[in-house]
Amino acid sequence: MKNKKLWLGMTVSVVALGAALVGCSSNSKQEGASPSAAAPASTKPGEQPQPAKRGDVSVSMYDRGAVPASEGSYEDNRWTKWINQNGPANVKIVPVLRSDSTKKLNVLFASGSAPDIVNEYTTPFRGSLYDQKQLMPIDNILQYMPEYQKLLTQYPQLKKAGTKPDGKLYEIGKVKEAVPAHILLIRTDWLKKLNLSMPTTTDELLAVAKAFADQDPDGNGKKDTYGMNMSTYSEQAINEMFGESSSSTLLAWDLKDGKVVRAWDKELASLTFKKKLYDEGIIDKDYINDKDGAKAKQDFLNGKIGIYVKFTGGWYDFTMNDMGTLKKNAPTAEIAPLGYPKSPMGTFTGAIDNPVQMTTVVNAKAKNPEAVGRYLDFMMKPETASKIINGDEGTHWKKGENGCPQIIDPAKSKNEVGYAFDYEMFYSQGQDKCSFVLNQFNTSDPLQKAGMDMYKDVQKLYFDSSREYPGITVGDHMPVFSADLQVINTTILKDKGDLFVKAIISGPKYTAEQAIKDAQTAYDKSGGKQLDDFMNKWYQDNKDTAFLAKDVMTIAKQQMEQVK
Amino acid sequence: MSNAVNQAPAALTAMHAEKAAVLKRRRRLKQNIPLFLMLLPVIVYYILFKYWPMGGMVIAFKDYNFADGILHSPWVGLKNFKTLFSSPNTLQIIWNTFWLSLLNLVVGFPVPIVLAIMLNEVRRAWYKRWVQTIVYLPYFFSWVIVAGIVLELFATDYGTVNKVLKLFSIEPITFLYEAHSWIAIFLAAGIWKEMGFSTIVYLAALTTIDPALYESAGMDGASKWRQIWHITLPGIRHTIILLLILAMGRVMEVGFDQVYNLQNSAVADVSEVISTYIYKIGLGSSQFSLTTAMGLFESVISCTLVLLANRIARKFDQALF
Amino acid sequence: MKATKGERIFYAINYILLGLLALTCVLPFIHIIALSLSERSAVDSGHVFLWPVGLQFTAYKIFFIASPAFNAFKNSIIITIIGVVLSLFGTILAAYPLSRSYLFARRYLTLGMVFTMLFSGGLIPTYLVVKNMHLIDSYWSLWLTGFISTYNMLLMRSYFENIPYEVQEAARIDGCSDTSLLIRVILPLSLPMLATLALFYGISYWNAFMSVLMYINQSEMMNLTVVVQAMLQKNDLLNSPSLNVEEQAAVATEMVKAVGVVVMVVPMLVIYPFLQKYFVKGVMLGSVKG
Repeated sequence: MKNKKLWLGMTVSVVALGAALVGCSSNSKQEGASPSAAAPASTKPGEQPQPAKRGDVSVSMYDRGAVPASEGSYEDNRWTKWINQNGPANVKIVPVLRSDSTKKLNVLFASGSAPDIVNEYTTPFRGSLYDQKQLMPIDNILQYMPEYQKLLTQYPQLKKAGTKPDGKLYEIGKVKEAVPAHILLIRTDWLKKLNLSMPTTTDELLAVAKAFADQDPDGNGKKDTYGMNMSTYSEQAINEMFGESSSSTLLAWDLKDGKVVRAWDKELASLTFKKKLYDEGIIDKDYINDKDGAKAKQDFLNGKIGIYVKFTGGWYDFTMNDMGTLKKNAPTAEIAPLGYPKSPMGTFTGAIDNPVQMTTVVNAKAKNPEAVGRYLDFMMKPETASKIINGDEGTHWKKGENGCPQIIDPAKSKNEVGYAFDYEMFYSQGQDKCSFVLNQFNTSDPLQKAGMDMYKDVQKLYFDSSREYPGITVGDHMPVFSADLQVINTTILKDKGDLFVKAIISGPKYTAEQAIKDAQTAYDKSGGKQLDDFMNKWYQDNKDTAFLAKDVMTIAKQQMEQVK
Repeated sequence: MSNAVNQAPAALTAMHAEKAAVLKRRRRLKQNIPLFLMLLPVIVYYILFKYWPMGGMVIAFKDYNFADGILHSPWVGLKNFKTLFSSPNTLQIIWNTFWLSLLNLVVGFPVPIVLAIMLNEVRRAWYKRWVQTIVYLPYFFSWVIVAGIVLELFATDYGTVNKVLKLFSIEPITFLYEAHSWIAIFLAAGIWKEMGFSTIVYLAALTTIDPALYESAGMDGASKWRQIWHITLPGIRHTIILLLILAMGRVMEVGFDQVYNLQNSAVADVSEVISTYIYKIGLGSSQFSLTTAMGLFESVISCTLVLLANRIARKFDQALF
Repeated sequence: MKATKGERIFYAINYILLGLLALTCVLPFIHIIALSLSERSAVDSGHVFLWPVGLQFTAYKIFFIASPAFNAFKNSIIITIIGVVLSLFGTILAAYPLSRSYLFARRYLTLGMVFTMLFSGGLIPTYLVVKNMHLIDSYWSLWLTGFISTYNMLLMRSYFENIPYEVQEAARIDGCSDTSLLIRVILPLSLPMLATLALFYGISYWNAFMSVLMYINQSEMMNLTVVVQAMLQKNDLLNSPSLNVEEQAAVATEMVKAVGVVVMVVPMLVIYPFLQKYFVKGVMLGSVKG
């Protein structure tokens, strides 16, 4: 008994000692490195900033395992050498694995050893850094960043998106080419075979899809075709047809009379439609297990899906590879993009991939803010970006007929240049029309020209301004919940998701209306009203400054003009 | 007169006994010195890398943030626990975690034992070696791969099992969307994946059994089954009980990857567990406090179970400590 | 001794069941190997089963040449071999004293170690300790944090405890001290358990992911597990400027995954048969009788 007490006592004191030691060391680190953020150099207007002493800057960068052994490593290769020789600062690259980047960065911040410049796409993570006061306001170093100042003037949405509740600018972002997140592709050869026309309403879509599933359009005598696919993001596309942009991480919100409300009516419409798709055998009955859309893609490439919802990323890759595979498996296949049909809730278009993407923040403990600013500015210069992204003129690319760089040897570029694009993660490619999808194609190759023309049709259909944008804004720009609200949000999302799936797969036993009713009950029970209040407060406070749907469409239009 | 004579040897014995005891203690002390010298680096390791960081568990009672660090982050008492347990689903989630683990234990624990015994009875050495090696392959497949295999087998439309059933004119069964069949598949997949690993431990233990015991049992006319029951199993009794107690300590640990890759909305009622729940709460700034709080909760439960199992094992003289 | 009819049936059933089980385990692996050797369109269309379609070694070429995989492979080997040696050493140092019944405070020492299996400070506190010891970017961070697995140590302790008393008694009478008892008697009799733990530690170090990710910053020091994982993110087409889509064309994610699995698993398959040699029956028997 005495031994036990002794042992307990020793354990407790060791643990306490441990806590003290752990705390002390991390604390002293933080006390030692006092943020030098608040001291902007005093430059009188009109006076050129003095050429700065060469400072040291550390930058985080995604490690995608893409640097060939012959080129070196992410920290040391021909491009880092070039940057260090020609840039304004000594740069140390800190590679961070893409898949677990937030874990690593969290640990670096917790120990006070995070790099000066942090490049990270995950919005809530950057938000949490702001909450924990780990960031330096960009306002302090803007004077060293004329390139970015230009961008901020030209694209005020950048300023909107990067400003935090305290009114200061904390996040740097880039303007990208706006691309639709997902598009519908329809087998026009099947339409011809079954004597059908392109569907323009959701009812017609249902009828055409059902015909595709039932009437053996590939003529092989077996009933083995699907009308559509509904896995993961493709389900989102169907939701968007009815004007709601819910997903596994986002609830559907709507604006009604200047207030933010839950889009229950639109969800009912999309749910009813999805249920029909399942009940009538139009989609794969195992769609909920197709977690990354791989099975749907396989079915499509085998020529088994009539209307395929495609993730738009990689249109070039789609043209060069997937089209070829499809033709190999189904030689008579012809596809064309299909605009979202008119639904009882209105005519919508698909969500647009975030064209104003925040990427970068600056560590509050950065020792040399001026060097940070100058480095970012250097990298944002179009000449620098072109060199890093495209390579050297003459060696890697030459000017093509449309004035844009044409790659000379794809294999060489892949080896020597391909890995470097993340160095320019924050560069606004959106201002360089040569990087747009349409300019990727070599028009002399008929296959590529066909892909290019198809994309032109996609843009016409999906950026049509007569169509409404589904939801309040792009997912990335929705406000981030606090921890307590996040728990409520997660619970509600899970309940709703489960009820909806139950409605879809349970046949007549469980109707869509019932699911909506039960979801509403669960919503109220879990404290959904707190979410409503939060969203409304956010909207009231931010509706003039936040990045909303209309801003997205504006940018999309601007860019389309550039590539006429 | 006789008393005095009788007492003298007793006192002498007592004195001898006392001296012997002192000598024994001194010898024991001397014997312990080399042992503690051996233990020195071990104890340093445990203190430095296990106990010292344990101080960080206080995060569970704080609103930890980077700016204040572990020591200076504000105390919030039980707030983190309240947040975690406030969701109406929490009880269901904890129950799922516990239930899936328990089933896994009951069904899965004997499998490596049976497998090891079966391998032990193989007389062709090359066959034994091959099977041994192949059977521990699945341990190295990620759960993404295993989930893919499960889907290939049990999907409603195109799954192999349903295709076979179709040949017999049986309607396709929605294996993956019914709670009971999902749980069965979930357990089977986990057992299949991990069985090869624990088998190795039992195989090592089986080598310590004296082959002569089998010979004499065989000569006495004992059948294979009786030999296994009376010789083999008792021979590895200590290993079985050790692994059983340790398994108790992992009862709250339903592997994240296993559940995350196999779960789907249709069976959400039974497939949502603590690790997936925390993952979904996301990347907010209080993530560490919440995770640590949940971890602490799980640890307390595991500890209780291990102590309990140990108490029971003591009855069989196989206590861990 | 000839087997009886009952025994023969038993053996037959045993062989068949084991064979079927082994089949279920090996078929997926054969499928993965086939995927890694097939051409992209066949892989994308799901046409590959147990045999490569359009045999090509491009995926392997790209894996080893166009990435840091080769260097990472070397790193993994270093980490594993030294790690196994150190850990075995540490485990023996812990298990042996704990197996002696006359050890002072034996129960509490064991309890103290088992306690660490149940309670842990978590990611950040452990990282802070490693950092304050200046072990970041050194493989010692991996070897020291993984020095002793309590689970493995308990296995070894149990094995030591079950070595027949007669053998040890015999050695003691011959004047053996504790240390030479360990080296001359106990260890040679524990080969099966040593082989088992060598395998367990080997697997653990070879597959080390989180620890390498956290404690190593320099990409040249990364191990194979991390590099393979990094490559699976390569086809993150959403976030790369369209100009770079072409580079990702030839090798699809499925194939990269397949190559990764093959490269990580094959060494484990090769090592095991070597260690099986030590699983010799009746190893203890001879020492008592003889």
